[in-house]
Amino acid sequence: MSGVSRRSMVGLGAGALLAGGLAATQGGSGPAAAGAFGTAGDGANPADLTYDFRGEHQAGIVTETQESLHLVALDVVTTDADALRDLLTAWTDAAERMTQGSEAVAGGVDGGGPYGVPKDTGEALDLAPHGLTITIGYGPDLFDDRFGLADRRPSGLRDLPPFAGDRLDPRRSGGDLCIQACANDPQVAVHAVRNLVRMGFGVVQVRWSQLGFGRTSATSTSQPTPRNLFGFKDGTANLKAEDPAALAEHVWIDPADLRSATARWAGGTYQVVRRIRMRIEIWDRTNLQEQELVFGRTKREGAPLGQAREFDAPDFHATALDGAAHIDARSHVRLAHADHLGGIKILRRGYNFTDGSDDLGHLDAGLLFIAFCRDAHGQFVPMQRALARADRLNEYIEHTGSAIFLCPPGLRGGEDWGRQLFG
Amino acid sequence: MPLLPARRVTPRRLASRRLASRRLAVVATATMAGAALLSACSTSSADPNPAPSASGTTAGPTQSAQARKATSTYQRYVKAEAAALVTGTEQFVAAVKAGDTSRAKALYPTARSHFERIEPVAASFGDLDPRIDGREDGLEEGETFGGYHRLEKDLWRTGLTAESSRVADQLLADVELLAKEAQGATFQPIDLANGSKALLDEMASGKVTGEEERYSHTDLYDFAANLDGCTTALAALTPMITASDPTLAATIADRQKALEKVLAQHRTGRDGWQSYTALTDRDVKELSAALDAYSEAAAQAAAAVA
Ligand code: HEM
Repeated sequence: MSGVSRRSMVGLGAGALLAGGLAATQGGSGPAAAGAFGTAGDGANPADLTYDFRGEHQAGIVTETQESLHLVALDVVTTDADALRDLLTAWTDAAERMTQGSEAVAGGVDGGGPYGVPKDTGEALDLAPHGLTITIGYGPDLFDDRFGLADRRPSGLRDLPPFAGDRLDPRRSGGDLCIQACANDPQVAVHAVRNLVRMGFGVVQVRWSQLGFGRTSATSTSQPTPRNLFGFKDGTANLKAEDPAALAEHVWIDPADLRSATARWAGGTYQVVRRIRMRIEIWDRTNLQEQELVFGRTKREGAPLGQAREFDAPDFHATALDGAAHIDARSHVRLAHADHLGGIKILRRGYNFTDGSDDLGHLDAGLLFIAFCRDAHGQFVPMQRALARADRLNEYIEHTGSAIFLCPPGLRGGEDWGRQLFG
Repeated sequence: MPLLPARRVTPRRLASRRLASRRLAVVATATMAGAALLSACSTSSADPNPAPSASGTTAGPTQSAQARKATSTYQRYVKAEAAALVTGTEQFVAAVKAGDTSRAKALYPTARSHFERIEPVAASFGDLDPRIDGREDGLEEGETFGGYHRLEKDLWRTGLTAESSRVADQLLADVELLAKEAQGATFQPIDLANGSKALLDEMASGKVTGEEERYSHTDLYDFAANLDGCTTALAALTPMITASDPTLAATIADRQKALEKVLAQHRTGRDGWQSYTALTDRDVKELSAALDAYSEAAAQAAAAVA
């Protein structure tokens, strides 16, 4: 048990309890989201945590946000649909194995003998699964005329429109496919991506990838709220795994959203990824009052301004003695709040990142913003428009990358990603 | 560029260097004793990653008919390329010494192509590889910068000087020595497989990145030559690969074709290649993707013939 942080113990204990609770209350209501709640190993060592790979929804979406991320966007470099299909099938097998703590291929590290090139790269060999989840997504261009998939593109899978203030780098944007690997150990996440990418040479090529080193979101009430690189609690007012009705309303694609040719995507979701650079040095010389004004929450507690506790509901009408609203009209949480967006909500599951420093000696760091929603153009887009127009935060951030993907629903026994897409 | 940067000389490499310089005195006679000495500095074929090596005919394990055919085919290629390297270098050196910069520049990429085709073989002869093909940033303190890349710098950057002529003479002497060594070189099938991988690694680290030909930007000549060396070695092994893993043989063939097709877009004239600086980021990415795909398959060849 040594070396286990108290924080992860607390999180896990509560998660395990909840899993039991949910199972009891759900009765026979059908399969749950894969890996919403994990299974700790016998010894209850948090490193042994695994999440089911199969289920109604993919794992890695409402799954309690793990500590590390490696996300990679890829382009398909072949026009051979069979090759793509075969790769997706092979990926399914490898992904399932790795999430359960096995090598990417049975005997992959040294089973090929001295002259064989190892089929698993080996750096995760002695590491426990650490709650690894692998989530796949498909970009709009995958459904162009290359692979005969055009009629399977759901209407919601379209490129995002430009937003005011965007400084998007095409080398950090877009992609035909996306693999999101999350784990509580960074090496486990990187190993997963590396081995999947390797299997894909000749079929796919990496377009861009991003490491995330700390979660900036809580997706379960059992998780403590982490902090982003501006030092504020992030993920307080988020959709949570414990609220399946809200997830059904805001996250999972409903059969009613789809034409018959695209019915297979029910139970999936749209993933929006934005690489947002944060102007760390400028922020760090900004006084506390301004910082709190920007977000509309207090720094230490994360309470809405005018309230005492983190989970107190914000009161956007409350005014201070001088008559000014506690929560500024251009603060981040006011603009992003459902009350001011016709009830829109999204599931946020982002990560802090830093790619070292730039030429000026400033941190090249920020938030890899990841959101899941049932209709990206009806939820993320109006929300980001509202933020891009007025958010006080804009002075301190810059959107440098952007992508949208369709995450298919979870796989059931015997299914694989190749058949799910092409079958 | 040498496969091992000069500053990361391993103990084994140091030993072989010392051996090589001792050998230089006797090599002209190319005696059996010399060949045996040569095999003593190469790794045994039980090493999972033997450097492609020239081994003494008496020392190697007996080969199957298929293996003999593969290695002798490749041997002929090595000899022919080594001879062409001498001829090409003679012409190049003559142009340098005549101060004919434009002719020397025109001859530079094609003359050295013959070296790039058999580079892994050259790398097994002591320090001939760094002397012929070393890069300035690969030098250890006290070493002087010579060989092809020194003349590349003189031709494209600093201009030819009297020193260039001396460097050219030394280059020709080194190349002739290499050709002599190559005449007596014999191989095991695993050497061919590992040599082809070494060429692919070179292409991925030095050629597709435009690092090798820093001044002349003739990287695609090297790329094409490395690829030729690699596909020749693998073609010689194809019957053996097919016998043990027909799917792999087919994959290697498909991906070779795909890579050659991508490369062919950058041809200029009948036997020229575009300057690296003319490639767009997209072109480079496309080449790199096709190279990754081919390399991933080609890397499995060693296990199939071992
Ligand atoms: C670097 C960029 C960003 C930072 C540092 C940031 C930070 C924060 C913080 C500290 C909170 C308050 C705590 C919480 O409720 O989680 C918050 C809330 C929120 N943010 Fe962001 N955020 C960023 C970008 C975005 C973007 C691009 C969107 C969506 C387009 C977004 C949507 C939201 C939403 C919906 C809330 C909850 C609002 C509420 O209902 O109270 N954020 N964000």
